[in-house]
Amino acid sequence: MKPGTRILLAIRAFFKKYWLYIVVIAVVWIAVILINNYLKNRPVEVVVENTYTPNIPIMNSGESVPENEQEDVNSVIDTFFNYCNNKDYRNAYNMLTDDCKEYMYGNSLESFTEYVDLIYTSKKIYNIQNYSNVDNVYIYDINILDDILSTGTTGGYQTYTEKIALINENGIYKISNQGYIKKTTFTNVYGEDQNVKIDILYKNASYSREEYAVEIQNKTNGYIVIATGDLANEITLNLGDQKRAALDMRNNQIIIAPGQKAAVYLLFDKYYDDHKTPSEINFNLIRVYGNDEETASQGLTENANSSYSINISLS
Amino acid sequence: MKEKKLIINIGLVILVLILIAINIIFFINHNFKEDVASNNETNIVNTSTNINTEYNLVSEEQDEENRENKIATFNERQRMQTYFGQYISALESKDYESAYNMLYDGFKQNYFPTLQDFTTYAQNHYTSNMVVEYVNIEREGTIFVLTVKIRDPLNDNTQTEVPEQQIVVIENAVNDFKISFAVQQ
Repeated sequence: MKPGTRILLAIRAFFKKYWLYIVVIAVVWIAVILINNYLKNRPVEVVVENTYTPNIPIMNSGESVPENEQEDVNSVIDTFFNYCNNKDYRNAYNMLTDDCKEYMYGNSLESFTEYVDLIYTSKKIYNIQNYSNVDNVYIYDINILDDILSTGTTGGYQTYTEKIALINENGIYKISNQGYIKKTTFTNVYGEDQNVKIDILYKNASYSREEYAVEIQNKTNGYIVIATGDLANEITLNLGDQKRAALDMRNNQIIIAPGQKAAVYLLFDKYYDDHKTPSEINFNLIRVYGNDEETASQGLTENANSSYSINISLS
Repeated sequence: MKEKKLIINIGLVILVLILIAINIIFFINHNFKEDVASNNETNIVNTSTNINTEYNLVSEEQDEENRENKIATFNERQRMQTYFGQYISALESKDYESAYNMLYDGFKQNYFPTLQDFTTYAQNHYTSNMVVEYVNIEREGTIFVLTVKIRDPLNDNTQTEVPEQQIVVIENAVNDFKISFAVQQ
């Protein structure tokens, strides 16, 4: 047998024995090459880096404004800004919540106009950053600045930042601005004994503070002293794990003449997004005096006929 | 019977040869694409230095697209520096019209209503050799404010402190930007 014939026979024998393996390997091989080629040539989508995320809150990124509401919310802010920027006072004013109109501007368009004129001294631009979102209240920082694109910062530029809250009122987003959030009214929240009746009427929440409107009736024939500011913690707000003292009592002493009623406003530090719920207001040192005004005005406990505390639950 | 087996064996051999041929085709295609990609890279570099080379295998549109794709991979700081770099390059090469077209419309209306106004300003404030030192880059929402020092390495007096300048850049899309700057009186 010729050597060439022998080789041919050997090759034939090899293929005859292993043809199935060869076919399987070839199919797998081709498949791998095709998939590899496809993956290599597949167009890769390049995501352009952008660190500006106006709708992701900086306090807690897990509580973003829902995606389906972001457009509405941004549009409302844009409309409000443009009204202010164009000095369209009335339309801008109408976008405020009723609570904001009352608390921040005394229901006065003129007062709002003064605010707009103070901030929008020339054509401005703005940007926003979601700060936090609590109980369907979306709080944004709005940064208002001179139109630096048009000026190129020639002559420098000024920026002004405030917090605005977007609140859904009957399906329409309204704005509370200058850090104000909203008003909460209390019903039948009071404490009473034979000397005083203390009614908690409502509170106005700003981003960093709460102001409680309180009416105190002196039922005695002498003076009642609730706070002079000389002692710490005469009035506190109980937040569960801590108590916050009422602010600036030295300049807002609460001394009530015999038989009189007094309307007082108690201010406490409290962040709207701290997830703490005020449980009660503590009037920690109510002092009952006789009808000597001078003695009462000193507020000394040892001169009082009696002294005690009242805690009023807010729930 | 023997002939049938022979035909089967020949078929198998042909199959193996086809597989080898396919493999060679893939190999050649793959390498050719890499060569083109490599030439594109060369082309981007050369475009920025205004040198034409024999590697210029792509059209102007493709070149622009490649450029945008490359810029898209940059981070914000690099993109802003690239944009301002394009503006400075135009000024260095005295292509005032291109530089003017990069300016924000409102800014042009305020300070340079005509190209001639800008050209006059540019001739008085920019040289043909500038080195930009980026001191700071801040963002105001979608706008970037660059604080830079622009030096002329050929004419700078080393004893004199180069004043900082502010440049404002807004990026509408990748490689689509507008610039304004603090005008020096």
